[in-house]
Amino acid sequence: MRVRNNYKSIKAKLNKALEDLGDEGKDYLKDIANTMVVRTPVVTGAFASSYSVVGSGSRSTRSVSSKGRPKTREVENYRALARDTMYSDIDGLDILKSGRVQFKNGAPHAPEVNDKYQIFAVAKDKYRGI
Amino acid sequence: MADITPNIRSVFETELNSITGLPPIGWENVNFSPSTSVGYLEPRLVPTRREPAVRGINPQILYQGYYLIEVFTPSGHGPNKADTYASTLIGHFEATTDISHSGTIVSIRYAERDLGIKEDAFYKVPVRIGYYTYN
Repeated sequence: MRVRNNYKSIKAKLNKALEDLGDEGKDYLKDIANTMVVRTPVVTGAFASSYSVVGSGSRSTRSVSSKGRPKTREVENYRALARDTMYSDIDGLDILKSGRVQFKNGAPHAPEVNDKYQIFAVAKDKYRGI
Repeated sequence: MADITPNIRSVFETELNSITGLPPIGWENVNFSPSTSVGYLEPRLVPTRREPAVRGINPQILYQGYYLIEVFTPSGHGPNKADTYASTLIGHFEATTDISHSGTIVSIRYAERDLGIKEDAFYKVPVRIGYYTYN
């Protein structure tokens, strides 16, 4: 009886499954990002420019102040910037190693904005599961 | 199918109005002048989902969201009063219970509070009551 060592094939399949899992995880995070973007108000664009998505242990945060910034009419451009920034952060994450992912907004006035528009609480409600 | 978000709001407002021992309530989009010597509540309905529960024809519609009740007590007198109001609200809207009004039944998903923060002349504690219902 011959027994064939299929190790290489199994390993390749496992790696592909892990890769797919990572992609699914990133799609899920991008859904969360979209939920936040559509609720993001734009007055000067500072808040929209201050989103970050980081893995566990990261202390980096974008922070743009609204002080001295003129009001903008480019509402959808700033929302697109917020989306692109978060997507880029998400694509750069190693989901399977990260363990924990944080969505942040480092704008100095973020607490007031979030309080009024409930951006993070809405995302938490939609994606917290049963 | 008609949107039942106003009915959901009525369920929460009726239920909130029935609880005894709470401070005055500044209802959503109703003129209200809070006193800085007395606490008050400020509720708002925050819908987050309205979508078919299943694929196919004539699906039930899932409504999901949370009822945000911000508890305000006078600043500088400690957190106990706000904590008591928040606990009363959480106890009344406990998770996995149902509330209803005029034929609309709303199921409670979760009842939680957030940290207290000072806001001008008040100390504020947000309470979030997560809900879902099908129609």
